[in-house]
Amino acid sequence: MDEAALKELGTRYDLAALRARVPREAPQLRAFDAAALQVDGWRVSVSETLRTASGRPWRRVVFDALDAPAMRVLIDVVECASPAEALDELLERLAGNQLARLDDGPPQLGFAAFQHPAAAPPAIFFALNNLCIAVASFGSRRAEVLPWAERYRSRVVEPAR
Amino acid sequence: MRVDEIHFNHDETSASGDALNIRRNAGGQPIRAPEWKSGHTPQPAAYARAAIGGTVTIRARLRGGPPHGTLRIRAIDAYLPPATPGGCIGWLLRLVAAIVHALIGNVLGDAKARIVHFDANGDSALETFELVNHKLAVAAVGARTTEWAWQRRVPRLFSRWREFDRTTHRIYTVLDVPRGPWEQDASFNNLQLPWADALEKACTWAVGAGDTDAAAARITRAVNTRSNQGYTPATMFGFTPPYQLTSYMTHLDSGAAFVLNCTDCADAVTTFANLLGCDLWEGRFFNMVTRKFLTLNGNPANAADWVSWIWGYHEICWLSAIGVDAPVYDGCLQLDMDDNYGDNVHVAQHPIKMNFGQSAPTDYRYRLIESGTGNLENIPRRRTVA
Repeated sequence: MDEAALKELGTRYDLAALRARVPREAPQLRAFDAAALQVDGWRVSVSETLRTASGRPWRRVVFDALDAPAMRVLIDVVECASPAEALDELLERLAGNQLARLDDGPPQLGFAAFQHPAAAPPAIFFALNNLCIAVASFGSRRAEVLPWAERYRSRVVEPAR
Repeated sequence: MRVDEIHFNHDETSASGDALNIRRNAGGQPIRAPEWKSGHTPQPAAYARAAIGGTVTIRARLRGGPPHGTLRIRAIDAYLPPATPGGCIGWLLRLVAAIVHALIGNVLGDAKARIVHFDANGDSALETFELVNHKLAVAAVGARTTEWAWQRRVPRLFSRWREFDRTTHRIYTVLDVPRGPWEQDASFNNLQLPWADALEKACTWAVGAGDTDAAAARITRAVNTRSNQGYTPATMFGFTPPYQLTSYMTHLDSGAAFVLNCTDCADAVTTFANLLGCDLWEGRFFNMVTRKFLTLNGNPANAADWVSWIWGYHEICWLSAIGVDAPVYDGCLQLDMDDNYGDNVHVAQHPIKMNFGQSAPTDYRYRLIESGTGNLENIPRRRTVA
């Protein structure tokens, strides 16, 4: 993120407080497969491998509801080298959000989490260990995103299950 | 006898007498001449109208000619007007066919006849042909298909032209050499060379645009009205460069509904318009409560599509530079030009080359911002593509 964008972001969020939340140590996940999740009533319609501005691997998966294709959920997982980098990616998400300020997200999701207010299309952004994860309602019909965020959190913290 | 290969972009250092440097998309390598080779999938070529100066040429190699012989060779438009009935209907059909051909048909004209020598194997050298009757220096934006009938003639009096091969070429015409984020440096595997996949879209969306104002306007309308798009406040295709153009086009082409925000729309408008030779930049302004506007891909007749937001920022496209007096384009929304903001009467208008301004009724700022500073961030951006 360029200096100007970071400075502007600092007018909307307490960046120092966010950086203070970064855990010194956390389990590292590598080659996290965002598309491997299987959820009844949903199918993966798009799976993309992208790179962030910093060159970090960015996996994008879109799930479509089988009985309502207009209901879609996008999952973005950016794999970082450390929790501090995961926070950088989360800040990138905040910087690219038009809303003046996002609501705090459920604290159990990660060491930093934000979500869209109720009036906006549902979306949750959180940093968990070395991952930055975004879950967004992506179709023309609203989809709940918190259950998806919880599913991905579970996959990260309890990968064997 | 047959055509073996045709080179459209035979000089990668110039676009004045041949085609632009392009690539197919983010994958692979730049498209190198020959763009057309017998037995291979043909590659497209693109020409920039404003760059064309003087003679435009192609290069072609022929095989199966007379060993140690000489022939006159040319390529002419293979298009034949469809057979039509007589009378007014026939005249109308011929007119429609002519218009369609002008919009999407041959733009390369003909390859002027010249003498070609063949070696002992009946092969020619890589011969340069001058294009005549072409429209490359005057063409509007378009994605056209040229079909050439290649003909030969024994170089003596009263001999007749005989067709020996046909070749078909996808040709994009843009108004000027594409501007940033696009580049023309083909000395390496440059991802910022114009993408043919993006040219196909931009040239279709802005077909017939004769100048950069018209091209930017058509691209803005097109981005705003794609039927499978909806709005979300979160950037979906990259805030810090690169702009994830491949992903955007994937979702656009899928036909399935997806959402994006103002930064994504500004990226799309700038990237596609500048591909055609426009000079747009992206830039933000901050802190506003908006008036009601028509949301992305909204239906003006649907009251629920007229929305208001509290935004920390909004990103739009600026013509040449960012400034209060600068013209702007916004592909993310349509403004309400009705003066009474208290009722449910709305007049939708695409923000196309509107003055950003302040408080005049024709100003973009006045029509979008109800309250808040709306202060400008004077940092013009053109995000690289990936």
